[in-house]
Amino acid sequence: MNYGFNSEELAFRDEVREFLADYADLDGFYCQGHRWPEVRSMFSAMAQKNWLALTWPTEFGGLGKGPVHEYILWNEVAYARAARNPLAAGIVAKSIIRYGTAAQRATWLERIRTGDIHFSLCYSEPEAGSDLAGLRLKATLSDDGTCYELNGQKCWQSYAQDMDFLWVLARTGTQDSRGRGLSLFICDKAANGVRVAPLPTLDGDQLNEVFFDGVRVSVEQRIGDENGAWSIIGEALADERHIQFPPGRVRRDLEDLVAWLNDHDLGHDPMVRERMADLAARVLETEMLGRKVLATMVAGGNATVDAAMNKIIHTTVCQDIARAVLDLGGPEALVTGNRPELIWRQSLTETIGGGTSEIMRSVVSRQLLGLGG
Amino acid sequence: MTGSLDFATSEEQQAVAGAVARFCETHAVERAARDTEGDFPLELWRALAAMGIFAPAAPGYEDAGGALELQAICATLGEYAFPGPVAATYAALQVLTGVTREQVMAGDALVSLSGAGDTLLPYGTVAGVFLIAGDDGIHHAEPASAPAAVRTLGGEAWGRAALTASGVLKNSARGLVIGDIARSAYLTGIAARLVRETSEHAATRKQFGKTLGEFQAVSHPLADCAIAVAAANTLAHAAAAAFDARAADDLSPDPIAAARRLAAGAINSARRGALATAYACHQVYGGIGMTLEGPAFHLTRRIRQVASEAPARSREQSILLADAGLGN
Amino acid sequence: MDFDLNEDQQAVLESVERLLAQHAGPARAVALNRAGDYDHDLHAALEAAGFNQIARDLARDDTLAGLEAALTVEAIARSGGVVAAAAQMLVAPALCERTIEGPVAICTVGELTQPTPVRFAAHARSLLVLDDGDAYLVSPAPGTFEPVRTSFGYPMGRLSEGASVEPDREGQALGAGAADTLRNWWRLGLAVEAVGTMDAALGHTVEYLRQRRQFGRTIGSFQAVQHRLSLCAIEVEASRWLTREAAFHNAQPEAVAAAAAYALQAADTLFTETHQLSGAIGFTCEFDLHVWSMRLLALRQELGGVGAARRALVEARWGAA
Ligand SMILES: Cc1cc2nc3c(=O)[nH]c(=O)nc-3n(C[C@H](O)[C@H](O)[C@H](O)COP(=O)(O)OP(=O)(O)OC[C@H]3O[C@@H](n4cnc5c(N)ncnc54)[C@H](O)[C@@H]3O)c2cc1C
Repeated sequence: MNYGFNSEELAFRDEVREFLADYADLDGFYCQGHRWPEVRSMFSAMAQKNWLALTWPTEFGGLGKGPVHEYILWNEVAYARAARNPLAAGIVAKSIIRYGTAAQRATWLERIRTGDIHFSLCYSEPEAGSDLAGLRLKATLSDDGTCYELNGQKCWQSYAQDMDFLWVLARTGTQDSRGRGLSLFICDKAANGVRVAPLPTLDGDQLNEVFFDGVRVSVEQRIGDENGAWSIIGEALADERHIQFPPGRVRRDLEDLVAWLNDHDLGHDPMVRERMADLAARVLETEMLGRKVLATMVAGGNATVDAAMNKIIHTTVCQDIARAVLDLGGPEALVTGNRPELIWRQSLTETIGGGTSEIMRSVVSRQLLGLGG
Repeated sequence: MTGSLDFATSEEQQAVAGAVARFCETHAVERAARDTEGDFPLELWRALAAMGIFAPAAPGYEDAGGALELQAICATLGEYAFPGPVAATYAALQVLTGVTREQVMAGDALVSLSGAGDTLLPYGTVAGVFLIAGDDGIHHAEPASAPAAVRTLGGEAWGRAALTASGVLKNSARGLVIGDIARSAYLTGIAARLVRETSEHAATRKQFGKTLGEFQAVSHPLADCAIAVAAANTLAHAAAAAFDARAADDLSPDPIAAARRLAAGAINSARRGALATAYACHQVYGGIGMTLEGPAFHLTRRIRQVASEAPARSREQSILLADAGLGN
Repeated sequence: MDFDLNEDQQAVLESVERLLAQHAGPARAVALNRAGDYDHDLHAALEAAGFNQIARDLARDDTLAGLEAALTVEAIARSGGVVAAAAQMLVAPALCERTIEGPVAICTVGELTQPTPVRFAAHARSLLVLDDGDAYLVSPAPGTFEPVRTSFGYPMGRLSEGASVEPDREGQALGAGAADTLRNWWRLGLAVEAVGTMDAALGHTVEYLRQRRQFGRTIGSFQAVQHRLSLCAIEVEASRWLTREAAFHNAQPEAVAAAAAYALQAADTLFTETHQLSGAIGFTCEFDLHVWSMRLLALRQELGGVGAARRALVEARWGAA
């Protein structure tokens, strides 16, 4: 559908599609944990086109494009089921561009831009899930002021097993300083005292725990001010709202379900048809809400509420498509690796990761409706 | 970037919406909406029509604005639960010609739009023009006898009679799309109003020493309503923008294809969202929501009534399913 | 009406729970599932204690054996036991008086002609086959079914390529009316298993949410969480009593269809809500929720699932359409 894109943007979309044609079987969106070498090499190929730095300012080696191009790129990648958008070129690089020193930009940006290094997001902890501001991992400045020592534990890190560096949110203030006492660090995964342990998950993939035991990181690896991380991570999150839940993925889920119904001749049952029509309408909803988030960002507005709404609509329709897949799939849908089974599994965690549905509802009720709760 | 990516309400939309809102305030429209019980406020309807609000998107009235203006108008009429065949009138103005069309535009003739085979006719006792939304398009129709009055939940002047249909009218496809956009905007408008007012109620009424809105069991369902309304509104907006962008494109074989799928999505979304909102808000209001003079009933009964209007769900379903690639 | 269990029933329940505490439990289920194995030890322990034959008097109309067997199967499901308890204890005795050698699997003829994953088939010594109007008992030779990889909590098998269990229609047919009996008891078994499984999934979740603190309070104290857990509890209890009622009436078709339609629908709600409310930990293999939650989805796939149970209810109550 062309709605809302100009010819230059549509041309870019076609270029992206052409690029992705070579990765039609990659399946990195669903199974990155099993496909990392292939996904990594696709990111490197994207870097050849400088697409990892699509929206970075040209002075930092980027293409200087706006959020529309970024949306088109990652939406197409999601539709092709090729990969989820990488953290390094997004949150990490954008934060360094905004808050890093000249030396930090020189150290990190080029390596990220070329797809040379990849990052894992180390925010959540066993005791700090929804309540991120309660995290405990401690960063203590050495007496001579040259380095910090990290001690504590993170958990639920996606893909940490394959990444090169960790983007770590740590406590530099007192425990009761909440969001005011947090700082951000880049930590080499190979540093002494870092240990990554797998947490196998139901979707056949894994999350990870990351343990920090006396890990030393130099002050040059602190991004932004000490105790200044809360606004940095907030802005970084805001930067990514339009690409965090790209509707292309849901559209593809629906198409796969339809193909499956057509193949098995199940599309005539009136109950099935009614259910499918509602799902199709809900996919349109998330496509348009996704565009709305984008439009708000293009206009320089605050997309927090739009994005929270979109997250609920996107993730619930994605799970309801998966529910239909399973309901209509019969026992065959239970076989590991079958397409229906994969669609179902990969929808499971969406209403938790990236902020739970309950937290999203609270965002809407507080910021839009002026209610508590 | 083209302007159509912009989901914000434009100045034109704000202007027409503002004018309609002022009209509704000065004419105590909500009072009329509460009071309607089988009779139709014809004078009010004529006064509304005299503002020129039915001209947007109508062929030959290009200066009056397009579907986006229509969407803003219908949403505002929804906010006030304006009684009358709003969506049917917009649909009719796409297909009618000549004197009838002028009468409808002026509010002198009311439109009854029903589904194929229906004998229950919206506004049947007061309508001057009968149309049928069939699978193949919009038909002109004549009642076999004067429709007998029927009482309905929404208090509207419906009637019962058998109709005899003639052939499909030109521009039917556009008429159905515009009808969907108008109806979804109207439903979204009522639902938005309901969420807003219920939230205000929840923010002020105290129980157990705190406001209702501090209880998640209240605030989360209201958040879900707000999300459903936003989704429907965004789709209605997208459908209207697509209609405006493509309606002029007579060269393409099916210029309104993009608008049709979005409008089908919008009406599905609006109906679902508005009905869910009606239930959730009644739950939050508790007892006071059950009273006829209370804050909710005149809104929710119109949601229920408008959500049941023709065309039936089967039409929207076949558009959505064809678009999704699921054969018959 | 009396909802209390009588002394015999109470005793059955307590003794099977004692046995299960020793021989079953989530850790065991995880290990067996990883290997795709059947719990032969648990099966043997149940056999030795007489539970596999708990309902051998089922054919007699005046017995409460159906309810006792249902209580046992419910308890086994609650413990995450990897045995074909419903087929063995509820379905087999309803079909024939002689003891059927376990493990017992059940499938439809369609699942053989169009080889489809069947619970416990790769380990079954006996296979009950439902045809439209007939039911058969066959003894598949080892290797007839090959194991299927699945993470839905039960070992499953699919008819191997080239293999066949074409029932010998003369010798193995179970007689007139057997198809209806099989269908009803199979459906009842699904409902009973769903009840035990939901019960455990909910219990595990509630226990966790009582401990888990965020924002300075336990998660279970947030209304958004609390109210949804109450709704889950209501669905589990309603499923339980509908199901026990159906077992008490020896799988009377209308009662069975109502119980299964309700319980299998509740199973979907329970899956969704227990996972949503557990947060990320709920998706990890180390958190036991999956032992039960994944099974709920597998149970919904059998015998046409909720849709077929609803149609059966309509038919039992109002006659064929
Ligand atoms: C697939 C996946 C990938 C992830 N990847 C990463 C990663 O790469 N890096 C990283 O740092 N983290 C990651 N996470 C962690 C994620 O950020 C957390 O799961 C999330 O913040 C929720 O925390 P929790 O899981 O501890 O749930 P909890 O906070 O324990 O919540 C449990 C339940 O309680 C509800 N709840 C909590 N607070 C409230 C409240 N105030 N009101 C009402 N209900 C409430 C929640 O909504 C949820 O239903 C990932 C998670 C998943 C599922």
